[in-house]
Amino acid sequence: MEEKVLDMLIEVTGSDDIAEEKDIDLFEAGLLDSLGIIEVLLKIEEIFGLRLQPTDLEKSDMATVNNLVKFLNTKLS
Amino acid sequence: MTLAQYGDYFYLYILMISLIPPIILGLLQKKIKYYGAFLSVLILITTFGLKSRQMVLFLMFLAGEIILIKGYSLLRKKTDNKYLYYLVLFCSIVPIIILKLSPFTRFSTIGFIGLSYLNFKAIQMIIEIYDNNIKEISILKTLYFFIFFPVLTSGPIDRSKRFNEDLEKKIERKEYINDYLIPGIEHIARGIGYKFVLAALISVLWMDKIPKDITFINSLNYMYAYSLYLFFDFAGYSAFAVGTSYLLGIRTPENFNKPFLSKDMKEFWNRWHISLSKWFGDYIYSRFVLNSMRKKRFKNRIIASHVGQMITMGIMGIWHGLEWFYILYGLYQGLALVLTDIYQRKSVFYKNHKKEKWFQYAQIIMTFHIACFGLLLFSGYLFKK
Repeated sequence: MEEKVLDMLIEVTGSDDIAEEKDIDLFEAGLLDSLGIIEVLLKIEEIFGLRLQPTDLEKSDMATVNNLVKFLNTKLS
Repeated sequence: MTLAQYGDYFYLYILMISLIPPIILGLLQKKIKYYGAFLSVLILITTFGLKSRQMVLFLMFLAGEIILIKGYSLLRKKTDNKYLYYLVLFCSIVPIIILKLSPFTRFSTIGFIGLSYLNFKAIQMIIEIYDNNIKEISILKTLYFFIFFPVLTSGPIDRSKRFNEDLEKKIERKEYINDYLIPGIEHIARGIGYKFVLAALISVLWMDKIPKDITFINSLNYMYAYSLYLFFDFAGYSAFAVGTSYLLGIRTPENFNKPFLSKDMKEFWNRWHISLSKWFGDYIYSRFVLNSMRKKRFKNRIIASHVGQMITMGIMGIWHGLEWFYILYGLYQGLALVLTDIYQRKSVFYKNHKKEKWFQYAQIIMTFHIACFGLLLFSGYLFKK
């Protein structure tokens, strides 16, 4: 799971550094914006088959690699 | 006699007295919501008047939307039919459509103070019921969500799930003091400073003194005066609303976060009238772009995003009213976002300098003027005869 999420976020943000810092806030670091959120949602749909709407998750659920892993674990279990 | 919300010292005086009981309840670790609902009903009556046309329309709105929300939440368990969803969604939007169109008919405005804002709460609930994000509807909690008086007339626009979580939360005394009472009082103090001192001074000593004939200098002067006035007035109002909510145990979201320090217009909309732009972002922009990308409506995601920004801001303009300067304002804001995005993607100069201090200061000054010019359009000043 973690690996898939990491690959996905690296692809969307275009930054490899997040592999080292899984708790860095992607919004504060300027790596994700409102369009980025949508791209991540589409990737989640593609990779995990989970169709989400923007209001199904909080911004904080996507703010770091670790948060997104946690969120997807609860959603998919 | 009716009262304007946070409108004058008398309202403030009433508010202060009526906020003593919830503070005592909070300190005693008792539930505040029953008193909050009771107070909301009283304030509703003083805001609309007991036997007024506004009150009748408000009650009709409330009954209609609650029936729609509860009814649809039951139907949604049986079917996810799209056309039923569109029909229900349309019905939930009807009040605001009537409000905006009625001035153009032979009837006078059909609506009540705060309808524009309250309608958002209904629309978002219908959408999230369809998404299956909201599964159960408690009629009483939804009623309280709608009549919760601190945010009645102009927001901030809260979300029902968040609001309900606050209602259920048990607040310890220490937590009430540190996380509700103190920030609540701080917000109210800021509200007084912003709205009753700064906005009032700007209005009387500056804005009202600008000559009425429209010249370049007068317009420029009015642009600065009006922008600062609007900020202190509305941010002050919002601080009152948030502070009052906190004392009642509800952590209503913030509406302003130093907007005039933004480095670009995207950031500005994350700091100015936040609950409104978040609403449009969540329910219009993101959904439009997401659906467009799923259906591959546009050549690429950038175009989808730009079209989404124009549509979203256009609708925001219309939401303010059907006067053409509001529509112009919306399109201006859409264009500002699109051009900002193109500039930031294409400009080598931007990429090379964006981390340097001097460049950031220049950006702040630039953004301040782009934002202020938008507010000048919004004010209608340029179009008065």
